[in-house]
Amino acid sequence: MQFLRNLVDKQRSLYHAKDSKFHKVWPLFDALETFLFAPDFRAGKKGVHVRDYVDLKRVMNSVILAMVPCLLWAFWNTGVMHFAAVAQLMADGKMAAGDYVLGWLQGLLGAPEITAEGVSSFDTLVFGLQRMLPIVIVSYGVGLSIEGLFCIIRKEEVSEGYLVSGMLIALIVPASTPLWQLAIGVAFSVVLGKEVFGGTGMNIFNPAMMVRAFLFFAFPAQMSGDAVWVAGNTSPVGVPGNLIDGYSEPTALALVKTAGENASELLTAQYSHMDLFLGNMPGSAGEMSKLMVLLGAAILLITGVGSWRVMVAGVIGMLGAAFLVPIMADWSGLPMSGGMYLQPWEHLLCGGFLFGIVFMATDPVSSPETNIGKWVYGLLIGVFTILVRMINPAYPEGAMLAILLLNAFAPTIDHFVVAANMKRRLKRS
Amino acid sequence: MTTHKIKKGLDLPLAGRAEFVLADATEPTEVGLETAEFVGIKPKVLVKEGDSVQTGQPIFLNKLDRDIVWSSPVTGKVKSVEYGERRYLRRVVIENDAAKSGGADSFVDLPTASGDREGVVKAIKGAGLWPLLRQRPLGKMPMGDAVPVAIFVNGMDTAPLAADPAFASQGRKDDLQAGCDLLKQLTSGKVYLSLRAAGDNQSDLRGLNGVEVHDFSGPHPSGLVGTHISEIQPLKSGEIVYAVSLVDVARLGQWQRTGKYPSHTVVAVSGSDAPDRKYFRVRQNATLSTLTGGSALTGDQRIINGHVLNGYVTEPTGYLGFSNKTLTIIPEGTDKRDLFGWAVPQFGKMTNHMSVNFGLKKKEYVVDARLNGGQRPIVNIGSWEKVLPLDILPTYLVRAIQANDIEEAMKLGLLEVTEEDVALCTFVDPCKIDVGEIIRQGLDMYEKEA
Repeated sequence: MQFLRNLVDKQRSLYHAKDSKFHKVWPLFDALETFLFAPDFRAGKKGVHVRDYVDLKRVMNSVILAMVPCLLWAFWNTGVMHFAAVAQLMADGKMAAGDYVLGWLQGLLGAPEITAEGVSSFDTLVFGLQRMLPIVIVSYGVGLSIEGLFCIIRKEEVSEGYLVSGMLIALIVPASTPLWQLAIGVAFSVVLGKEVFGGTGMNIFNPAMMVRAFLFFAFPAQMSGDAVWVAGNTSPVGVPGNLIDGYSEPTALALVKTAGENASELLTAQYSHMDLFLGNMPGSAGEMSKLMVLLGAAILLITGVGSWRVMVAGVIGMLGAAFLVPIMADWSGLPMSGGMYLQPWEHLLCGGFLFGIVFMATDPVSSPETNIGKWVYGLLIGVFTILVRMINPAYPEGAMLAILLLNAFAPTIDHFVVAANMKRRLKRS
Repeated sequence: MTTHKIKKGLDLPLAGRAEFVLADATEPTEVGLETAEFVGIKPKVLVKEGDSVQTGQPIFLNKLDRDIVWSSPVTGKVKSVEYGERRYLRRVVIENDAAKSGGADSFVDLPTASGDREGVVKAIKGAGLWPLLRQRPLGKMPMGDAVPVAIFVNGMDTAPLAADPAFASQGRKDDLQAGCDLLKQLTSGKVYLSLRAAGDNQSDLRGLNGVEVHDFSGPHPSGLVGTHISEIQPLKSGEIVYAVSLVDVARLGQWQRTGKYPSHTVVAVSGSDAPDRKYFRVRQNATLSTLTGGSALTGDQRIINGHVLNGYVTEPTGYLGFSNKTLTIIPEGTDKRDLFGWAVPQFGKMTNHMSVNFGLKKKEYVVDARLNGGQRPIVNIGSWEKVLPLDILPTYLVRAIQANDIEEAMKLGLLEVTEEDVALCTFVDPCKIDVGEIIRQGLDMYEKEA
């Protein structure tokens, strides 16, 4: 290790001093250096002389670790869904074996052998990586470049916040998303959603959610959540996405949206409860497997990085609203929608709510800071998700909109808690 | 007697606790009185280099209140009078005759306290013992005429490796009683004595007359006066109280009973790098070498006048603080940089976060002064709130101060805290923010506006 250390120390002189050759890009060097070695900072001469071993890098790293199960599942299941769709098309006679177009990784590692029994695990994984890796790379590449640029301009150390956002983004866009759309979305979110507010710790909205919202509204054809995404290797004419031509299915929630009293049966005919729970269905990486999300939640809770209050309140809010809204609609004569016929716990299994409440709503920067505020915030996210799913006529899924809305209201929620604290103090005197 | 159970907080299990043995330190060759400890005073020196002074003789006064003086804790010759920027008095060094063969203390006769409150105040100030008192809000030496609505005597200290006041003042019941009687005359209200619930060496303390005893249990900061005030008698706006440590009450009482300057105090020497860890009866402002085995330390060590959560770094050749009760010596950790320190599990490292190594273990940690990370803007994952028992919203308070909004900060409880109350927040913060420094900035701003 001494060798590495000497190397870093030697390079350091080129960047550190004000008049050194590459001082302008000092933040970039610093980011790389502190990635390798903990910085040589010590406590001041006055005050507190010992510090906890934790730092922001580790906090962010814990969140990334919590997302790994979801990512691994995405690597695997994207391939599974792809080849299932291909097999379906072949069985229907819409596609011949020779029509299969290879992707970049398949071109390198060899074409998949599509047989009647399906494909090998290796080929499945190759396809998953082929679609997911570029998404991860573009998300991090674009985001970190912009962050780095802003740090150079501001002459600040590069903050770790984007390491989490970058991974989150990869998990909440469909594997079929064209990379140029993703790049635009990331650039929009990092510049207008984060850096204009002052960077890490200052943003109002969760940056990853901003990307999703941007894509949702800018490219509604691919993102509205009505049709399911099964990633392919070609871009069908008129559809800017890497999809399988001629293959589309409604998502679980879209299915429910258009259903009537039979919503529950319609849903289970397509995806069994176990499929929904394990993630045996197409979709964005994060929304597929609820099991993997729960694994991630466990990591966040054990490390204490994610707020259990937000998670518990969110689930309670959603279950409560899913139970009460149909009763109230029935009672007030509101037109019933398919979502209202679903059991509350079935709502939990559908769509991206669980991922949102575990990974997006718990973002410490864009959520309230007071403990009471966290409860209110979580509850309302659950409630608004259900309101969108049940009452809004346009969108099948409401988790994203609910979280963004409550991000905006987080300071207001805290305001009331803070005011109560001040009032207690005032009362004493 | 009431027991207050403090639930939130954190006890840092540092290695190197001082043994409960009280020994006499060797006489220092010299003592050094520093003004840096008393931020905000305007010192005017009363002696010249080469003057001979007696124990208890005034050395400098505070021009903002000329009654307040600092007295010589030794008999000897003034070795040097050192000034800093703009000729601000920095330090007065006095040789100690008692260290030479045959030398002994010769005491100035100090008038003791008598009469009404004004007379008592004047006598304490004249004896050079007023700087032992602290005022809340602000946590500084009391200035001005405001009468405290209560006085909080602290008979416990829960800070890591800090001296136990009950042990350090044992066997001085008469001094303590005299000191408490004196305090009683300073306040319009009660004198409270806070003790560790079911602590040792308390038989004398629980028998003291004229004080109301309160027991505190739970993790640090259950032993801080800020916690005691908020539990016992939260301050109304405009009210002030005095805070004083039990050991200093004994010194006040000693002066009141003898009319002589109480030149010695008790200091616990602790920390993983301290050569001799025990309690020493030592002369006030003595050279540190008397407590570090006779000669100045030379290794990569951090010598703290105070404890690791509230204290200041002193050079190995420096002096004990005026009323300092703990001397902590820990490794400095110069240029120790862990490879991938942020990523790999760090077993054996002290942390309150599960993400590092599943939190604190039942063991004693050797910890150095490294920050273990870079400074970042506030990213609140609830670390501060977990260790702060006061009814304060720390992040909102800090933000209000950073925005220079003193009115808002006061509404959020700025005047209920000092840097020591939020020291644990600084310790646990993953963003490495010095919360105490920001609180002090807020208090300074408040003082400027008031």
